[in-house]
Amino acid sequence: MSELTSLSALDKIRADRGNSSLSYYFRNLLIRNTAKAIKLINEDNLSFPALFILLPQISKPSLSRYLNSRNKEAIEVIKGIRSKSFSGFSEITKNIDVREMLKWILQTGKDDDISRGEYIDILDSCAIILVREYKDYSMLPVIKEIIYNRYKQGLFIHDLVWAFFECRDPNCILMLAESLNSEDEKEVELTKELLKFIPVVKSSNLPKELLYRSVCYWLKDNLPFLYYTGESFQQMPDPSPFEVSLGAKYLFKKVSLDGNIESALSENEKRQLNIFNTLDKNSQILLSNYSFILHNQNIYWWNSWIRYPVSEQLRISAAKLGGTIC
Amino acid sequence: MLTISGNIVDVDTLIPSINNDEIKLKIINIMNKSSYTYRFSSPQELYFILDMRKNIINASKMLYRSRIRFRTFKESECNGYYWRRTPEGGFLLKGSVQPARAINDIYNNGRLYATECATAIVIVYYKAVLDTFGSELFNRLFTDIYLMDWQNLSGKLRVSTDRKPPDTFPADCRYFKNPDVDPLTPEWQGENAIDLGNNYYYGHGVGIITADNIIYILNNHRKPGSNVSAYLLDSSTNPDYRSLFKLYSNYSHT
Repeated sequence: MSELTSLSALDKIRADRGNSSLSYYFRNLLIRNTAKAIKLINEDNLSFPALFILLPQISKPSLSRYLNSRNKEAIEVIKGIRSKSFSGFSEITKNIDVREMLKWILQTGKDDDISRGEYIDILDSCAIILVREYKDYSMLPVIKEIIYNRYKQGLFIHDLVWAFFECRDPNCILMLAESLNSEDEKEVELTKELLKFIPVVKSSNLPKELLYRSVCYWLKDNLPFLYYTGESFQQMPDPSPFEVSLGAKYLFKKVSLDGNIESALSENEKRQLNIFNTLDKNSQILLSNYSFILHNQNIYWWNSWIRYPVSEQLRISAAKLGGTIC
Repeated sequence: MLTISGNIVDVDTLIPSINNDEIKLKIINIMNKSSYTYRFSSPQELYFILDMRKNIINASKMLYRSRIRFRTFKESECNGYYWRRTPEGGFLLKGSVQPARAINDIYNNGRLYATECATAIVIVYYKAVLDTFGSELFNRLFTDIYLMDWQNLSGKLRVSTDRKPPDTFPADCRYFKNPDVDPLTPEWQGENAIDLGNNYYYGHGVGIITADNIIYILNNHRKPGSNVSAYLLDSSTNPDYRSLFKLYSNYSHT
């Protein structure tokens, strides 16, 4: 798909005179000058919102055969989404490059303020299919932009937020955290809402610049131990899409995206992890934080500390960290 | 174990006060047999929580009978006399109406309403609070209701999820997760359902059915070729009963 460099003629009419005027103009043009109407709808820099508004007119068989491949494929993708079943979608779109079409829809449709239910549905579906089924995360910045734009308009965002986090990559936290530096208070508000599973965001009244830095430090410290939980706004009031695997942090082992420790554990590590798992949450947090700090400070001390009985580890950790839970 | 003001409670002494209510008895027995200690500040606090849980179950059954329909937020509907539908699909209480009447209207005119499963649970919670507090107190305290899944709850009705509760109880809201949901039906990514205490659950959109049947329905909304089944999570979601009790105690005599 070509990059949009300027507005297409139809987009310009829409921008200047609104959606209804565009529809009216195109309907008249079809009667007066069909060739010109076809030329305009096939312009390279046409956006998805303009195509969506003109869908009832361009879907008619008499016109659809003159559409370029991008427009034909976009109509197929919409039909697939309307089937409300991924098997139906896959069948309808089997001969087209779905991934590129989904990206075109999201990229050119992101700024639009069409708040009609189906338009929102289509964008949500494109994001969900691209991220969950095609594992294509190149549009995450665009998906983020749509989420924030919709939030400012008071529109529904939960499915799109779910699609965003379905990338399952904790690095996406940083992409959201960048909006803590925004001048727009609504953007800061939403970022705090989306990241409130991070202790420093939930409990802190820090100024937003410091909060951003705190989130960066938290992410840097915990990145190897973060895993995706799949929790969503549909599921609970305070979803935590990513969690720190405290056991992994305690043993200083990296986790895979599903939360399992990646490397094989020795018998001794397995035994220690079993004991660790029986501890209350606060003790687990204390031990894992102390282990992380000590490992970074001095690996030799850490090697001795990790071999102590857990009760002794707890005593030392509480003494060194003042019994505080970070 | 169950303690009131720090003293271990002999469950038999509670039975007369709960009128042999089957659900309340079941809740007390779960607490009594648990290795976890359930602490209450007073008998009144315990009875309040039992009443709330009982009312949640009743409100669930009544909402099922109300014929409220299942719709996603994009297609949600409400009675415009009591509620304003917001652009995101939630229902905001109008300032000119009584909160108790607005909540009861959902039950009395269910056909005028359509929403998804989490909002239905929140409606159940408000109805249970209304039935426990009474209309007069409810109208005084819950003037800013916004029904929109778990978000934007009134500060007075707080809800939280315990990811690994020591026990589960009748009236808990449980979550059936559908990890391989069809990407074109995200509304089936999971089902919030109230445990009715008799091996049945109420989930808006699925009705009153067993856990196995909820899983069966969710599995029918998986993406093609998936062999990953939906399942019931360990977690449970509940209103903050203790803060509601404090609210009730502080205001019911004023």
